[in-house]
Amino acid sequence: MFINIRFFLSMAIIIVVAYISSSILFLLLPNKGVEYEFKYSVNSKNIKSINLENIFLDKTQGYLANTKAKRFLKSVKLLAIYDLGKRGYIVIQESSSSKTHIIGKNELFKGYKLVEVSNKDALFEKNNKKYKLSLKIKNNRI
Amino acid sequence: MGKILFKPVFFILLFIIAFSLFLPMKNLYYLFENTLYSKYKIVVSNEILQDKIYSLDIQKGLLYQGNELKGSIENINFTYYLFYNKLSITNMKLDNKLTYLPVAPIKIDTLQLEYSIKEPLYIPIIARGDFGSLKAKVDLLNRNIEFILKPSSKMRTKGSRVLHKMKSTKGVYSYVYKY
Repeated sequence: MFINIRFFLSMAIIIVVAYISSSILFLLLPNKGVEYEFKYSVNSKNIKSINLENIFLDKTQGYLANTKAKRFLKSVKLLAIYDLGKRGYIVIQESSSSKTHIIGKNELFKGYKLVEVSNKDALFEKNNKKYKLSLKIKNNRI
Repeated sequence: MGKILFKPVFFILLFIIAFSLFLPMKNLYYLFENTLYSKYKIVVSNEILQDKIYSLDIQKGLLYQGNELKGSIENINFTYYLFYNKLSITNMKLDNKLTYLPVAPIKIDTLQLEYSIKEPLYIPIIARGDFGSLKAKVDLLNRNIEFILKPSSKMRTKGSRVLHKMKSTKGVYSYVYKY
């Protein structure tokens, strides 16, 4: 009986020592990782890309706006969607330059505002019209 | 002899099991992230960390190098039992500038890396993606990595430059990289 109590006491001591060692390690290790800072709102390139030419668009120019929207939807490819509730964002690639962009909810990209993201689609808005960009699914996999 | 050895071996094992249970995995990951940034200027951003018992889940991460987005990862799972450790990556997309391969962008469906006490000097890697299926073995003693690649048709057409540098036998390509 005495041996058993000593044995279990030793086990408890070892567990406490392991806990203290990991706590020391916790104090020595960094408690923050590295995060990328979004610079889209203050980037001068981004300001240039806001398209103001349709600001006074009337109904007769609707067709023109539609073709422009189609061209826009064709010129980009949706690579990834991260729907994190309020903090959702997407990754798109320009077909012409293969340049990738990351766009957060309510951010503008070439005059189009990203208003909604779902599992498979990203919804842009411009001049009160909504445009859907979908992920291409191959063999039932995204 | 067995009785004498039983107690110290048991206590050492108990310490290892308890220590790995209390291991601050999130903080170890932060250390890895800081090292990655200081050495290669690569940032894993916006990821969601989930610390589980004997495993760490990293979800929906974006890879940046400098100011450019270089890739995205849907899920990384790191399971550690000290005697057997496994790293699984699913749905990873990488820019060709980061991988130095001409197939752009590289899409990795699955990547598995294992480290076991059975073979402490080797780390086997299995990957499947845009490039085909890949088996690799890291030789820690001789400091080399042996790659065996079964290329996909896309890799054969777009990545022929890379395949030319590899040794081909019956449609299977092999390459030994010394580090």
